[in-house]
Amino acid sequence: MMRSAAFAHATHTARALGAGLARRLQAVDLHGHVHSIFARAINVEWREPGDALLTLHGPAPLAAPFAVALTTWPEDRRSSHAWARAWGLEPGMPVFARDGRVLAGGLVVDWSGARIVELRVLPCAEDARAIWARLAGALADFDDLHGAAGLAAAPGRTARAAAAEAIRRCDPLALAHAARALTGLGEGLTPAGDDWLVGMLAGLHRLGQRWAFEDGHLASVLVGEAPARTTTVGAAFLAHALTGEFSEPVRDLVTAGSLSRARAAGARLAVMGATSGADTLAGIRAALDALGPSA
Amino acid sequence: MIARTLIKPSFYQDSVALMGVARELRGGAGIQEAAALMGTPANRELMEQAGLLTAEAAAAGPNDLVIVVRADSEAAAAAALARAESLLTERRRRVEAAGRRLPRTLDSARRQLDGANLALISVPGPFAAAEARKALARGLHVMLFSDNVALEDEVALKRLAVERGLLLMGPDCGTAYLNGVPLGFANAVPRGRVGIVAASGTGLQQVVSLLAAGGEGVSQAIGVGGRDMSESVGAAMTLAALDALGGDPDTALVVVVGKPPAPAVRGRVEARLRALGKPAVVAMLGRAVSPGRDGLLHTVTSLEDAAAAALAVLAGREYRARAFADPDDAGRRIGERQRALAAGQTSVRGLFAGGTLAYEALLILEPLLGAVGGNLSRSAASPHRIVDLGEDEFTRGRAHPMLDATLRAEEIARAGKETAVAVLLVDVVLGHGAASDPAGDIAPALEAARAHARANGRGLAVVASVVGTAGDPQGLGRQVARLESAGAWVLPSNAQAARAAAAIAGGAGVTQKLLGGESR
Repeated sequence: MMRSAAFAHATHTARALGAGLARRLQAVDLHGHVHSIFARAINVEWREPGDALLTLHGPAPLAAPFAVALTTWPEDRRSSHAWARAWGLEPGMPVFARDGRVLAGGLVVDWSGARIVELRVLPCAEDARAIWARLAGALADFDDLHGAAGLAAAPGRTARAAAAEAIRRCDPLALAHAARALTGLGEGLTPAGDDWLVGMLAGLHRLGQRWAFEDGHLASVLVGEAPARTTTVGAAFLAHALTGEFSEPVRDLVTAGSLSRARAAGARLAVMGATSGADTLAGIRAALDALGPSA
Repeated sequence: MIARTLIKPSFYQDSVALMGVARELRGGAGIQEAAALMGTPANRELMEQAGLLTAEAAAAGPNDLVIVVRADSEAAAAAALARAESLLTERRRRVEAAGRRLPRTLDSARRQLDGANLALISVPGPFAAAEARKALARGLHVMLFSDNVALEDEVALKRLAVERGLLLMGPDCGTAYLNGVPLGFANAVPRGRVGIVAASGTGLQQVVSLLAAGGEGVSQAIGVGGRDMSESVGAAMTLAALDALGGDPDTALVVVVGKPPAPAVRGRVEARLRALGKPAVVAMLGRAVSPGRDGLLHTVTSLEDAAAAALAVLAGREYRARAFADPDDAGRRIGERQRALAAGQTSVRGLFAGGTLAYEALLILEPLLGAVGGNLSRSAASPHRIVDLGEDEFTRGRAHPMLDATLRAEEIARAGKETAVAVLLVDVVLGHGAASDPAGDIAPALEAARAHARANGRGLAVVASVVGTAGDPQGLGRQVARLESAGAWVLPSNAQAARAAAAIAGGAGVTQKLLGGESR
């Protein structure tokens, strides 16, 4: 008989997860390890290439297209390591996903009854000018947000200007070059350049700029090169953004049906991460500015 | 020049933390440049351009945290890298010990309190508008505690708030109660049926304290700032607050406290009050205001009457204003104090911590005693003076008199030496945010002033009121007892205290006018 683990097993119920992640978890069993532990999130990296990450966090809008929101999160935020220890978690520990559950050390997450959230952003049938105006109006609230310093340095400024120019000219190759320069640029677990690119891609998807994705230039950078050019978490965000999958706040913002909803979603996005929200908002804004009101 | 590197594999910190580490290292002795970045190719290029790409940094991977310093000496570089290690450790320890990081920005505060919908802003005036704008843009109601906010900023902020359906309370909003939560200087009062819109902090405190004494509580109390009913601001928040209270099922009656609105605004405010469909009591303290009733709208002329009228209306009684709660006792005490005065003692000296309380006293004294001087009035030659010690001229470089009684104690001592002063009129404001023992802070000065007057063959009456409730941290009973032990006559409201002061100093004529047939 196997000896029981030194830590207690605790089953937690998932409240929500992204539709893409749910499809993947339903299709195959996954095996990975704990990538990183923060006070409010645990990242799991799957061993199988192309399966990216899984992020577990508390009851809040899904912070990533690969996130699972639990119904509860430890109240005691004093030490991420204290509760992580209670669950027997530490970076590198094996994680399994099978039969509607994710098992990591003493933590068992049952997602079988969770709400499946469609996080894909599709072009809207509505007049693009109306979407543009609504988003531009909402984003004006956040002009005073400060993003990460790395994006403001000369290479970041040059790359952002190049991306904007590529969008103005509908030039996919130039856009891919600019994206390469931005990938992995700047501070953070998801470097600021990645956040900015995610925002830009959300704007392009929503405003139906298919030219940006059709010839594979961007995919070769964001999927092919990104794992070597940025952090594991940053690369996962970029890969999902390329296919039109975003965090819930980003999706809520770009698909908002009214200015007030867009503003509310923008406010939620603005406080995500340390500067991730601000940098993502700046990316959306850049796409809008480059496309102009007649997008 | 020396460049040294610290690599921390698979070490993840957020962007703000890494920027903070780099900034701190740059400020170190002998450090020319520093970077703290993940070792991605793009960041390695950044480091190369900054002359920071060491061999170790060049070999780092995207999931490695790279810290590089360029220093004048080996020792400075080593010290900086040690400092980096300690900063990263310190940060983790701080987060673990405090449960959370203390927020430095509005956004980091929001991150810590999911679902927060109000920001209380108390920063120096020149910076307050920018913070308030930021809060409104993020969908937060704002209580703007700061003063010295430019009028044009107030107008713009309130326009933005109205557009967003949010409240912008202030500027210089000292007190509010929202959903049972007291904000700023606030007394411990129960929740109840009275909704209040107030352009005055201490005025609001006086009304809620008197309501509490009458067994009634507050549904919501919304501060709007002293300039809201000016022509420039157009009562933007007063109207928004009235709309909110009109739609609030817990509010059975509305009280408005402030100064009379600008003529251009008056019509809009009155129309909105009538449209409420709820009884309303209006206490707009001003010289030309007359009490009266027009349908559901009751106009009163003092803060005490506002509370008393609200209590009467809610109880289904007719309200009748009275000069004193206990006319017999008042008549007796006034007589005693008048008899103790020496010839020539005819003036009142009011020394106030509460601005609206001072103004209310001025409005009560003027028709009884004639012109009254002080910093709220232009009548410099008058023997009577009402001084609001919370005005800017007294608070520059020192705390407000609700917190620091030093200045008031000095003024009490000075007034006690003036041979013409018959009455010292003072207020004491209790509640959260106020001094821990405000009566005790001025009582020794009152005792000394009375002793000095006695030693010089004069009487000196001290008349006081205490704004507060039994539930306040200072305890209403304890504070009243402390003032009484210093020889003060403590009345139940500021208005009654002002009338008592006027009667003592004004003699038989004023006493008769106030007590009339009420006193036996």
